Amino acid sequence: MHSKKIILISAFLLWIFSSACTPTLPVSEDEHNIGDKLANITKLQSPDGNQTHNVVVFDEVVRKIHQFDINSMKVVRTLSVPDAGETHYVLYNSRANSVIDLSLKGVNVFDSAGRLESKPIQLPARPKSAAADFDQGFLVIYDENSSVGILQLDSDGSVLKSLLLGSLLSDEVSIVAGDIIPGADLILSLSNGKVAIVDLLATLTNKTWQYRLINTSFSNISWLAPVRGKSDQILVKYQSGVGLVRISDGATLSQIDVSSYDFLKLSKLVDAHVIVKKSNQEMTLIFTEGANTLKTRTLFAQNTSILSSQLDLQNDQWRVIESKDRIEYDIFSNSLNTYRSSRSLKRTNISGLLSLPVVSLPSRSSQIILGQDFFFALYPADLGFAEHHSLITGEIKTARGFNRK
Amino acid sequence: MISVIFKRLAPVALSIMVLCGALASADSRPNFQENTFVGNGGNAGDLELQITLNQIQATIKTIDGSSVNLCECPEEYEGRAICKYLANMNDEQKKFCQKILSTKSTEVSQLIPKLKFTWVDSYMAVKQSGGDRLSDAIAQSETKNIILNLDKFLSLKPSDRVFLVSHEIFHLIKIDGEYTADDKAKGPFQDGEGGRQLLNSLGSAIAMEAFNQNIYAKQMSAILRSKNYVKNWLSLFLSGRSGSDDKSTFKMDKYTGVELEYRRDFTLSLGASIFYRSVSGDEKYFTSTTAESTEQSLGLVGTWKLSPFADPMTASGQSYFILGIGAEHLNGEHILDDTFSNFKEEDRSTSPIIRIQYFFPLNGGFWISGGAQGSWHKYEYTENNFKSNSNQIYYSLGVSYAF
Repeated sequence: MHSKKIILISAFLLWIFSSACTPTLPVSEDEHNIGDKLANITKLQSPDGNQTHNVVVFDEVVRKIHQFDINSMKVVRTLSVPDAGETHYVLYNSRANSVIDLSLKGVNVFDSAGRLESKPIQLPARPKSAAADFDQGFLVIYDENSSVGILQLDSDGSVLKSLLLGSLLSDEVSIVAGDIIPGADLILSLSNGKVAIVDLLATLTNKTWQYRLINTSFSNISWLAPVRGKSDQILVKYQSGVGLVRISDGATLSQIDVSSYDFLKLSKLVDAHVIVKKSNQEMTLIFTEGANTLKTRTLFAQNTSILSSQLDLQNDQWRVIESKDRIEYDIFSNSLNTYRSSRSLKRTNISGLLSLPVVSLPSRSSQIILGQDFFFALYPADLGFAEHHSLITGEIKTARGFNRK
Repeated sequence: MISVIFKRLAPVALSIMVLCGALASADSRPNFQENTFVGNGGNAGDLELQITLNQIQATIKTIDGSSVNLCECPEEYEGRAICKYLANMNDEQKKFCQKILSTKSTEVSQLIPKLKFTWVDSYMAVKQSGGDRLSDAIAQSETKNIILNLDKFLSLKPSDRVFLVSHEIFHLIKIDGEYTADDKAKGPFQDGEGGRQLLNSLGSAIAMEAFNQNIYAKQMSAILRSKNYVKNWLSLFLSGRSGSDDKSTFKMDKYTGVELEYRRDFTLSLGASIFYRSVSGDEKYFTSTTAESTEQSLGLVGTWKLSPFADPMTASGQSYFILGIGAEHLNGEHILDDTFSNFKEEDRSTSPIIRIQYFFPLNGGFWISGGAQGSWHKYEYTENNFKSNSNQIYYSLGVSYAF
């Protein structure tokens, strides 16, 4: 009897310690995607960091897509979408001035003249992420059932070819995550720990995955991102840390073990970076400056909830959207419009960790997108109301009444 | 804004009024030998005279040989003006009065439908032995025509009208073989103006008998009822129209408001009116958008009065239709507010209009009135995505006062 108790207690303690020693890191919506999680407002920066003067947003009130010219704050066009009652996401092809609308019901492409090409591809489940290289004319869409839609687009944004594939590349090997390297190929992390370099054109032609494999030292890469200016490098999150990998041979250029940390953010805006925390008081930024090594910046006494993070190394600025509210649900995703109350923008320069004054962001449930030196907000106004706030001059430009027609 | 509009429309209004005045060859008030009572109640005084004749006729028919208390003043009326002439008679004169009424009642009743009446607007001079005398009425025995001063007649109470007309009627009845003159003796009325005393007594007797027989009460509704020959009309309407045919995401289901109108009748048929109308509507759209729209209008109309019902003694007989053709200037305003922004637009329009109205009499100059108007306004609030329908129908219901 006495011995049985000891066995039970020992087994319990062994279970406790074994759990503590095995690094387990939380999983976010930003993981296990190809490209970026879809949103209903487009990014203001292209993959090379250049800022576009157009923003495309799905207006949740009138259920239409607006395209705004940021400089003039005029609505360039308003597009009526099929199945307006569904959740819609948008992508903007700046090269062709074309808008891609995605929903559970399908993918729709509006060319520069607003003509609709309806459902050139039909994904079996809700699309959740996408990777695009519009200069090369490729768009890869990933849905919740891990199906992959590949589109080849012409210079006008029209669909030349489309292909729907499953996530199984070969026997017992399936897709975990991925992204497109601008000007290069589609990179996929696989369930066997390897990385696939996919030839999209050959894949579309042969209608089956065309790829070559590389070995890395990491297993279970659940997130990977291109490194701006380094087409041969990717930043990865693996099971217990963050690594910098050379694509050509899979070599590990740098890695940081974060098994004792919790992940806060995985962001590909504008330069890929990762934020981890050790406690509520300590936060560490992990990034690369292209010198084949990872770097960190650590801040203490951070009591806010981070909604979204952008790292702009070219302009020496780290932009964080945060909220002083105690947010109970999972905010692990790098989305600044999931929670729309009490938001503020904190800008810090990377070189010296000097912060600029905090800027309060509009409430009233506005959809916001952050640019380099401004932010754009679309309010949930029946008749249409949007603002452009300059972060340099403080000037506010408005667009009103565009939903009256 | 309305004063500016009115200044622009005033010359037009004046022109219309001058035109209507020119078309009217005569005032609704009669001139001597020009406006004759024909019993249709169309002219001022016609209805009142018809009522008086009906009262006299009704009273006369109750008088026969067995009638009692004729030519007497009941105790309860002593001291009243109506009894003045009755109280002054002696017994012989009273019996003579009673005999005349009893024996001549049938003749009077037969004469009344054959009488002619003429309205004048001034007192008349009657030649008498003692010189000219001003009179409110004159009876012409050769033509059986009674001439009455309209203003004086309308100012009298019903019993005084019965007295006056009865006096004149008896001028046209031969008593003792000859007509009775005011300035000559007759029977026991031997004074220099014995004839007048007799006729006054007869008139008072009929007026008093009408009281005794409750004749006045039976005709009271016709007496009190508003008359349609009055010239000035002031109306207040509740007005509105449907907005469902307007072309807009932000249209109004309906517009409601008020309308104020003044009409002047230049003749029995023709007139002109000016009116102001303000109507508005509001609706809610989407989650938090309110839309408000207002129309303010100023209109000028030429009118034609039509009285289709024959008997002026009845309410329907006094009722009438007005058909109008004119023009209206409209100022419109449209406001959208979604709690983020407020958008206000204005536009204006001028349109021809046609109107039809119906007036039904109450008492004391008041009327119930209502009608409809068609217009062809076209106005637009382009930024608020609103375009009016090409035509509108306004409905109105309200009260009028004629004076």
